[in-house]
Amino acid sequence: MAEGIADLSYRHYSGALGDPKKRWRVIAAQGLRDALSKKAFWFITLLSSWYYAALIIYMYVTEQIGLGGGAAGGPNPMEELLGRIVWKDQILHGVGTGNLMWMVLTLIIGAGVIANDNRSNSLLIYLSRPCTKFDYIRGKWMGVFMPLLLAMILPSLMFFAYAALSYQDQGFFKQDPWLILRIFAVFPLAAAFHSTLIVGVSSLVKQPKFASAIYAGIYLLSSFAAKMLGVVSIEVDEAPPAMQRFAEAASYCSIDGLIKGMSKLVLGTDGSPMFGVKMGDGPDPSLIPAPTPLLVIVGIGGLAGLAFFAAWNRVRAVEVVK
Amino acid sequence: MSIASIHDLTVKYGSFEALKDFTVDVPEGAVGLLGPNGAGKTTLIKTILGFVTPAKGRGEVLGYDMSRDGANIRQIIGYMPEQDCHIPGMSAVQYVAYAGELSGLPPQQALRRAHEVLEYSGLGEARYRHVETYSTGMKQRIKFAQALVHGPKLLLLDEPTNGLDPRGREEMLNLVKEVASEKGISVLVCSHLLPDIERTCESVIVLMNGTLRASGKIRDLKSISGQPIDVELREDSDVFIAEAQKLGLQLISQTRHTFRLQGTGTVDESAKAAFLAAEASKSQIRHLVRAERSLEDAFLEAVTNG
Repeated sequence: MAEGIADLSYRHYSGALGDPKKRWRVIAAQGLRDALSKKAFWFITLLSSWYYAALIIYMYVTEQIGLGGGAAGGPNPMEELLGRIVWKDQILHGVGTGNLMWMVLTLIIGAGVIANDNRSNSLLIYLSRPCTKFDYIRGKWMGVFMPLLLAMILPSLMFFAYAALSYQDQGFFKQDPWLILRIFAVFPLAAAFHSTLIVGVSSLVKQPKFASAIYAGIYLLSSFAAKMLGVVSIEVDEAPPAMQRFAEAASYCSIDGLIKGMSKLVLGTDGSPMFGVKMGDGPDPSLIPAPTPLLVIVGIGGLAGLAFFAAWNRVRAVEVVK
Repeated sequence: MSIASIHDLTVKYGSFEALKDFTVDVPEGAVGLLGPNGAGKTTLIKTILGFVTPAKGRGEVLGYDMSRDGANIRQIIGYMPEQDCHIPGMSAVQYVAYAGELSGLPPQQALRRAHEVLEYSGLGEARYRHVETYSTGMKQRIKFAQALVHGPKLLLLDEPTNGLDPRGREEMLNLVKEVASEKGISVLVCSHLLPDIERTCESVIVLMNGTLRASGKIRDLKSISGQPIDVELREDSDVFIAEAQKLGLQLISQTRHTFRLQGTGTVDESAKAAFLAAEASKSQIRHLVRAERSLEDAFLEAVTNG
């Protein structure tokens, strides 16, 4: 427990000082505290998990109908549903439906992460201490990454736990024994991608609202354009195969597209209809085949590299005019 | 003993040389860094902090090599920047405690010392308020507190009285002086306000166009060769001057009732002669002091003669 104020006059501090190499942890912890203290963080996290909540309700209701006998003489609806459900695809749908909310969360947590320091000159406070530019960027990045990862992975883990406990006898673990490991790969990668991009964008401006506008603009415009190409790729049956492949690849060329593509690759699936039920006769954009690993690596690596480069060049205590 | 020694330091911003072959020893205690705008004062501080990389030269601060041990130097230095640099959304206590943690204090110690240094800096109960709501004077105090929180051995204060009203300025100067003289912390005060430096510092370093123009004790810089004395009489007296000259004192200048006299011996001998002249001329001495230049004169001489 903290002691009270012992002496109101200045006393010299002669105690131990921490290792300078660990200073980024202080910055990261502050970022985490800031994020978790925001009500919007928890609200958006809740909203982003709507697919899992809806699926759990759907399965519960179906199970209850099954327990009640179902349609007279017909097959058990729950058994039918479990026959159609691919669990890793549900995680993929969790990614797809949560993506937009995670973008909003990224803005809430990360838009001001460096922009605020640029505006208030507080970079001087960080860099005049035993904290290098790399420590600063690493700390700021972790301060966005950790809460974002928490918001992304928590609903998926809860869904995983629910499904594992409820349907282990129905072959939950047999379907994909490595699903938990895949979850622990998909969400950190997605959170890291968002974190790197927002740290880079935030370092470029002095106002969080500008960082928000730039990031949301890039996200939404690229997403819209990529989705259009995605629709083309599944709508135009007569298109030459090369054009078809190009449109499919281009449909992943956005922030959320790359995250979805990366998720498909890590989860090892091309996707299946939401709730295990194909709605209507129209094409389903979620059924576009997974992109090539090269596209995802180059896309995510390239954008993240650019963002890091921007942050590295912009973060400095002194404006040097050459 | 010097707290920092710098040799042949050259710092360039592009093709512009902000410091040119700069060599200086910074003594312990309170030292003023004087110079007109653009002289290189802030560049020197930023080089010590490792914000800019010198084109050439070397230096040691508190025994650490400036080029190799930047983190160790920053660990034992407290820096109060010239401009506002508050982290938005924090109260003063949170801000200073955070600054303490960044300097390596354990979290509990950082919080405890944040309260102590904020109280010491005169922020009292205002320390629970958000920094954005502070007046200019309070912002200067919190900058001072964050520089002090981890118990540095050297404080770098860049224009500490910037934007302060006369009372705030007085209080800030008292704080700086107290820290330097009673708390055993060496202070390097960067300012272009000569009275501030004179009030708080024992020594000065004068820069101009990135070069060293003068350095040493203020007392020495202000001293005039020949050891003259200033004698203030109750009223003008030609007889006093005549008597003084008979006793070997020369009149150098006169301002109203004050005469600057110079003898051939020590200050004590000149003073004794002045008293004898006053007795002989039946004049009343109101004030007698060893004559010295103002710091402004010394500063002007340093920057114009360099």
